[in-house]
Amino acid sequence: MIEAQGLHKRFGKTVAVEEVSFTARDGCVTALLGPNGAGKTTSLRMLYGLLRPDGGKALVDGADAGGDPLAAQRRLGVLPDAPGLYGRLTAREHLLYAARLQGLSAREAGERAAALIERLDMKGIADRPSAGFSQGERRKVALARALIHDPQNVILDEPTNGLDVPSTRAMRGQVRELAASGKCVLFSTHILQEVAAVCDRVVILARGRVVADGTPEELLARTGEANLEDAFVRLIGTEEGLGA
Amino acid sequence: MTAKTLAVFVKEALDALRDRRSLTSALIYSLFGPLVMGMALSAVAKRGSEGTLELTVAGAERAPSLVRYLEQNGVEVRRPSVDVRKAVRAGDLDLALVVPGDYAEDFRASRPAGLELVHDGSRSDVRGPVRRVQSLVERYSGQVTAQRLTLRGISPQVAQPVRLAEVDVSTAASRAALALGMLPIFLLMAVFIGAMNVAIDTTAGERERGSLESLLVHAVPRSDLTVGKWMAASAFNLLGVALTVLVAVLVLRWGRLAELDVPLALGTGDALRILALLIPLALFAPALQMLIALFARSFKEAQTYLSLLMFVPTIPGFLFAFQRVDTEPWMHTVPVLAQQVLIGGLLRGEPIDPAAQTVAAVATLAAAAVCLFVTARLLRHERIVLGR
Repeated sequence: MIEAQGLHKRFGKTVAVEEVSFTARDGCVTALLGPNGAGKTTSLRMLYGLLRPDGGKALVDGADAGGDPLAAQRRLGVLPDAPGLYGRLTAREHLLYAARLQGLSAREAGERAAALIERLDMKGIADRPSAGFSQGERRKVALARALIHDPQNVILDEPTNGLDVPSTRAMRGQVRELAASGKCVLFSTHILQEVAAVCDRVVILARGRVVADGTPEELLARTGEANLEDAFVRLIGTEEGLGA
Repeated sequence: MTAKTLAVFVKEALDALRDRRSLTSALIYSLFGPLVMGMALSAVAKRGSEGTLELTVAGAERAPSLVRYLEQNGVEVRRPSVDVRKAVRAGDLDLALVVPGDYAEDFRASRPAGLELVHDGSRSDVRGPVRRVQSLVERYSGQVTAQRLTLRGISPQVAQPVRLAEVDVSTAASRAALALGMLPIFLLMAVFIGAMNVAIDTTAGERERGSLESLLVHAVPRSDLTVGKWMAASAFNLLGVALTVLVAVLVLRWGRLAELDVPLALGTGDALRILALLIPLALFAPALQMLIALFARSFKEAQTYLSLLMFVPTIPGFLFAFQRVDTEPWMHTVPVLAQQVLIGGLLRGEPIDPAAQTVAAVATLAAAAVCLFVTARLLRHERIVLGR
């Protein structure tokens, strides 16, 4: 379970995130939806221990990501904004490195890597250097890396951004599968179809604040709109940033 | 050392071994630095040796006795095929002697017969030949004076009230020893080159490629990351430094210096002692380089900083190469300066003081530890991690 409790974050004088609270439960896919610059990435970075909140708490299974990031990170798999692969390492080497960093033994690391290569259909690229990978392949390696230590909680920052249709569908399938196996999945997006396709719960952010929190149906009922797009526009109070 | 540190070390070392840029920066200098030094040394040792001098003389037929005198004194006289002034100005000729048309007439009439020595005063490498020609012409002039005075019944000694004899005590060996003062500079620069690329790649490079964030989301203490990366950079550096010392020894042993009987050729024992002095420094340099590179906004910027850093340790080196500085005890506590002083002493044949060597090693390793500590702290700073 991932909990944001009244998170605050400033960069200099700019307030990036203000009083953000929500909960992502086990066995659910929770989406953090909002236009560009709404504070999605900043909120997620506080939850996965990269940024320290100026106020409030970021909890992963009760571990405080601000106070003890390592404890939170052990229970967490993260796919950040940029996949960030090493061009000279192969897909398998990325997985082994991540496994060792998360504290797995050499044997466990090898087994987990082999299992994930099988599960994410990466056999063709497993032993090739990542420099030549497509966007979809990169994202796949990054996802496998996030899952290497079989974490209970998974945070994905815009996991389908820049992917083609087949890769996007595969990624959404993985997200649903993770939740079905009882994991807590929190992902950010600015794409409305994605929310309708995979989410159990939606948290809408606008200008650093939570403006709505509920199931897609609840949001429709609350706004009295017939489709999510209209509901979203009504909730964030403007049409800015609705590129997709 | 933790298993996570080891994992970081293995990954970074593997990554760097596959990176041609990291390998070349570690190896190229090791191989070429000492070779360049060897060439410089043999050039210095060779300079000043008396050989035949090729001299182009325009109008040589007007001064046959002068030409004969020059030829008797080791000068190979050549006839010009072009305008000598132009050739000297263009650098095609080093120097030339011009015998003007009225030389023969003036000479016969015992009037001062003009000669022109054409050379480019801005070229320092022809100063030696110019001086040689000048003194030959003066000696020839003196000989003719003596003949003319004798003919007129005057003792030539009357015309020479003072005689100055030059005694040059410099030998090939002593000139080479002066140039060998450059050796510590070459070695200290090697220490700041071998790990440069790995140090940048694992810090500023990692951030620029966007992989720093995905690295920091793993449950790894920042100190494990820092130490693992530093170990990989240090391994490269130690390899480069050891190779540099080895090649330097080979160059000094089998290069031209051996022929010239330079007593300073390095023995195996000296080489190992130099290596022992350099090892703490080879561990310190990557720690400092990683710290500096972490402040840089990009790979390129880090490269600029570290290229400048490479020349900082050579400053005391250059001072020491050209003037003797007395060693003070505090010098042993300053990384780079300490190694400079100790290696300099070793090359002059002084024994190494074990206490001074220990002080130098401890001070240098302590400085490395401080750099690593600060680097690990910086990896928690949002500004550094996100590169704002």
